Amino acid sequence: MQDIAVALFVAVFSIILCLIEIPDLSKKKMHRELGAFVVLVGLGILLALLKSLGWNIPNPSDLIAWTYSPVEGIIKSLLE
Amino acid sequence: MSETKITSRQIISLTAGVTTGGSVLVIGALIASVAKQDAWIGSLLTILFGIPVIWIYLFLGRRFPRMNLVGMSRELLGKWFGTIVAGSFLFLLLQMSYHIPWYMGDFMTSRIIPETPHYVIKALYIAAMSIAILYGLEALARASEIFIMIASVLFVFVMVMVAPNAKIENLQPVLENGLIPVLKSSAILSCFLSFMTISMLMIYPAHLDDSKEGGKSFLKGYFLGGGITCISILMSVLALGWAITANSRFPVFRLANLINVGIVFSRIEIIVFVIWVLTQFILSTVFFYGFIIGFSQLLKLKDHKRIVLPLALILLTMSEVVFPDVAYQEHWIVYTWVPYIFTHGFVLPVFLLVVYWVKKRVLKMDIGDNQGQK
Repeated sequence: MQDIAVALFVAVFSIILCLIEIPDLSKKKMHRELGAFVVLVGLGILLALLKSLGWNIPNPSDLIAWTYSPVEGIIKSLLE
Repeated sequence: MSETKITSRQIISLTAGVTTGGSVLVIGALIASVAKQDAWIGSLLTILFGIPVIWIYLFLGRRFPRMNLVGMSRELLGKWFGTIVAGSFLFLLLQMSYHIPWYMGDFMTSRIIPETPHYVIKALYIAAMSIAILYGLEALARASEIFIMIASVLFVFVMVMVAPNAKIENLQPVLENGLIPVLKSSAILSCFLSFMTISMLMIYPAHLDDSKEGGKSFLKGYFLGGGITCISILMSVLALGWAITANSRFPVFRLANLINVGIVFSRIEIIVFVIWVLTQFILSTVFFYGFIIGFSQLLKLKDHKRIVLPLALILLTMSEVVFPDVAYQEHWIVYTWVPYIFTHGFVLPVFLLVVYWVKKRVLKMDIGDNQGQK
């Protein structure tokens, strides 16, 4: 339930943000900023939607944990 | 780069905030479980061991007075490899900028306002972070000066109020298990105290007029933050004993629970929470700011403020995803965060330093811009 509310919030906020920023950015010919802005807003909406639909978003913490799993033994010996 | 300049006094408060924010509330438990009653010796040693680490950061900063860490690694390691290294560092900054809202939501909903949805707390917190960055670095730096002042005064107040509960027997016997557990605990604490200041390398040389004066302030801020953490660990062990400290999730919060002078002064543990929020806010905003600056530098954006709000939306969702539960977080913070920050806060700057020396001394290359010096 909360996730859906957040997805709605993110969608509405992004639409308002786009309506303000995109005309301004294209008028000033800041094409790089425009590209980065659109990609990031799209990513934001996508993540919020996936979360509200109950899909598993790949967790970056898992990735980092996997990267550093070989040194787990060293940390264990530090904790004893 | 940009013309944003901050004073060296503000470097003190930013560094102190970064140093304190990562450690003051949570980390005492971990340190006490490793070093037992000698945790305070461990935290003193940590401050000492941190000095060479800070020296490396300052050395790099002085050689490249108009660059941040992204610029340095690209200058030293070449365009492609440098970009990969910088990207990996930026990923760490991004990680931290949504970990802290998670902590905020977790703490608020478990201790203070349990019926509020944590999304609301996180959204407000992230909104505050974004507003701080939209106002610019100067505003953040000035705010941090005030925050550190408030936090230090409140901290001294809490520690004085707790002092009557301190029992010196809790520290005895000193060094019961030898020096090894103490050294181990200070190795762990370094990962939450000294190495955190690597994020300041996104601000420290580039936005400062006098990098020499700034270096001194960097150290002063580090000592202030480290001192606060050290005293909080010492008082937790003194007043609670190491066993209770090691078993509570938020030892300093529990410590403040002890304060009970008549009916007037009770339940002032919320003051500890205020200290934590203020320093944590500096920490997370510095990390988020560093990420945005570095990211727009990699993408060659002219105006970094344009991508703050889209990123804030991503932070809001990711702060929910990042730790599914408390058990995961406690395991992650020990087994993954410790080596993760070690590689970026220690190995990376040492590597840059070695490359710098090799290029300068062995290959006799003209490297580093010293026009800003002397």
